[in-house]
Amino acid sequence: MKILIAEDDENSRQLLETVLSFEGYEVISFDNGLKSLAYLQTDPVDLIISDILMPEMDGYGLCRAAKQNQYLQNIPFIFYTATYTSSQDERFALSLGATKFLIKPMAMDDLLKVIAEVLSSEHKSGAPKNRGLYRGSPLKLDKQHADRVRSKLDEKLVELNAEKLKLIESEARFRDFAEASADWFWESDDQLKINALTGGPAGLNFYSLTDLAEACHSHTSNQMLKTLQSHQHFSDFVVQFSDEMGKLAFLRVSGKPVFNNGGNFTGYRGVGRDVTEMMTLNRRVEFLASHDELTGLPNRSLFRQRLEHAIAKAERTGQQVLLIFFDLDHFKLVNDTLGHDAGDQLLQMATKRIKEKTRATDVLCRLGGDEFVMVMEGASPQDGHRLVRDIITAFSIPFEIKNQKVYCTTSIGVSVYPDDTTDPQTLVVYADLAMYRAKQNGRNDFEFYTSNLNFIAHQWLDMENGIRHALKENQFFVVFQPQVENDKNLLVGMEVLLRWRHPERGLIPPLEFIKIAEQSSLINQIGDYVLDETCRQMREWIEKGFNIPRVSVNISARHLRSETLLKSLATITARHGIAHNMICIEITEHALLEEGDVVKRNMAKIKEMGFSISLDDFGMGHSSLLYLKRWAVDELKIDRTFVDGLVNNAEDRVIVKAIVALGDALDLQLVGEGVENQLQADILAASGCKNVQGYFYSPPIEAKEIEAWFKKV
Amino acid sequence: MTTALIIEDNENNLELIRFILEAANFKTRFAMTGLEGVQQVLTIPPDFVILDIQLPDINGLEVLKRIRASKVGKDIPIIAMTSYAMSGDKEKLMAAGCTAYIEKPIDPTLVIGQIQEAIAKTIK
Repeated sequence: MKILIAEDDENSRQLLETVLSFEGYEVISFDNGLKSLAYLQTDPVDLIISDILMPEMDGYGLCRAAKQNQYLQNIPFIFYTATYTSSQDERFALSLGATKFLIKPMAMDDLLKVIAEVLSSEHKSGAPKNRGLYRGSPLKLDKQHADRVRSKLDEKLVELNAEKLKLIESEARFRDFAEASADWFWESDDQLKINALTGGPAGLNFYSLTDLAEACHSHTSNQMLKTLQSHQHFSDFVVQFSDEMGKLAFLRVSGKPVFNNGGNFTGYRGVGRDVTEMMTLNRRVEFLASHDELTGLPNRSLFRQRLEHAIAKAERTGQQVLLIFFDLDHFKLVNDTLGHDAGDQLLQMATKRIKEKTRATDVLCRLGGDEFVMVMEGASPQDGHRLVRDIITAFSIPFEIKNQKVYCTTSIGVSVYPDDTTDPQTLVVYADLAMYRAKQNGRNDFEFYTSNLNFIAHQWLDMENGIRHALKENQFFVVFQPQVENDKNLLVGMEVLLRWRHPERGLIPPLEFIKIAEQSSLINQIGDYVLDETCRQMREWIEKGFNIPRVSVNISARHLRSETLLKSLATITARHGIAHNMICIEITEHALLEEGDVVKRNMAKIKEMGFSISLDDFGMGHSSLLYLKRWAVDELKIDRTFVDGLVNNAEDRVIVKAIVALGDALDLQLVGEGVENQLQADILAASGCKNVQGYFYSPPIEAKEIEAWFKKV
Repeated sequence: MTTALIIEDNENNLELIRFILEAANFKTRFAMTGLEGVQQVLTIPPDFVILDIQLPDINGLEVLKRIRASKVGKDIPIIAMTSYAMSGDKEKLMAAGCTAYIEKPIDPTLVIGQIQEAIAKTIK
């Protein structure tokens, strides 16, 4: 039995030769299909075993040629291959007439079994034994004829070689083109893995086409992924990547799918072109089209987009959007007097000043001329009010242009979405109208479109100015409310409270101005004032020979957050020679909610300095045992709302009892606030809260009056 | 360089004063109405002001008062010029904060000296 092996891999070939020879078969082998076919033309065999992928003529070619030749078509043909393993490959092979399709590697025993089976069934089938040209051939070919065939084949080989050379040359030619071109030539397998590339921009590093698709701009990314999945042609997708210097670069990629003979997708081939320069240019053009060249701010058209976007977002989130319209006062005068370049410089400097005051999320645009407009998202009218005031203040400093001081103020109009209108265009008109009103009011001012907001904003401003004035003019003063031991009416402490006597309005309740003061650092100045006045008064009492109890001073949340608090505490107490343990710092739970680093440091330091700490409004909302533990609080004040409810509300009685129990367990002082009648006093006493303060004992009184209490001591 | 603002509605007078000042190496700017003049002083303060008293809108005295009432303009030297030698005019102007007073017609040979004297006076 003679077997022909067509196999280009030398190792595989040797293995097969050895095994089959051992088994007693006569073996002849070639490293390609063409040589095998040439041999078969003259020499008969009983079986052909062929690989698929071979140079010059592959296994499919060999099989097809053998099956088309009437002398060879009955020789059983076995594919033994590792290259293609899909079932489609097998079907294709069998459709060509192959007997078996075997997949490498295979145990040699199994392979021999299959070979034996094929050969024996071939014998039994009794098919005509006209394999090869000699065996069973009706024509006996003489040697002359065989030589003719051989020389023809030689001619064919020469021809094929020439064609091969042409192909090599052609490939080299195209490779030259590819390498000369700045473009990137790539190939992918059927899993879209990129496995061949030439050239391409430096820094390009994509593993697969999927990576490439993901590096596309978001809205084309999905489109490209879809195209890839459906194995379709794609063109001009722009991909972003970082070049070797880490700079943003762009690649425009096109690709076409590749299918094999069987119509199966085997991958993509395509080209990528570096379009970074073009894209950068495009972006620049886009930027110029949407921005003002002088100030670099978004222009009118981009502003419109931003505003619409902000309003659409606010519609979903239910937030407010502020539209702020600026106009520089007497800008034309500067332009006319100092020239256009000075005017331009002023616009740039004004832009800078406004921007310094705004948040990163605020969008400032230049509408043209000296008109600016700003979109403030997620801001309240109070925020807007604060901002425009800051900006007006910033504009009070003269600009320095061409060695010349220029005083340029701004008039500002504000409209609020959705309070004033929900329509973007109308919002702009309203802000403009408000700005116009500000100009009519004498410029250097702001107006809200809605008169009500305007009123509030201005009232707010008046109040702030009033507080500043009050600090300067000594309109503030402090009063003291006694804290007593419940059953004995004994003075154990006092709380300092702030009062404002306005020359025209009389006494202004703290509720009216503290909230406003807390919006700015004014509250710190007020806190310092209270501490200073308290210490001064304490020193006076000490000089008079009074034996005074501890004094509680309220410190606001904002003050507690401030970097200057500790310095104030130290210098003010030192100034009046007041020992720290005579002062209790009273803070609200609310102040501890914002646990910044500064708050932590301040709290720890206050303790360290020897002040005691009292937690006011305990039980209101955020009560947390954590605060008590973490901040080493000395005293709890039971909020007046619980004390109010003591008589009629069983729940409040339970809460107070719980707070007292807690205080006892943690060894904390307790003070009941807002005690107004005997009944409340009795219940507190019964609950175990010894110290109390409230109108029942004494309202807050002036320093002179409280001296009467000291004498009782 | 020292800059003068000339507030003067008569073009011929304006040109004359300008010529004299520029010849003496001053930089000049001008305003042809009182309001414009006030605005210019407040927005782009000059080193000194030459102020005509007869103006089409608000008169020179009012201009003077407005400039003096502002933070920016309260210390700028202002030299008034007028062809009316009405009695009491000068006193009113000086009382309102005028630095110096020059009567028209001006004498081109003397006027620079008068101005420099006025400026020197305020700097002191």
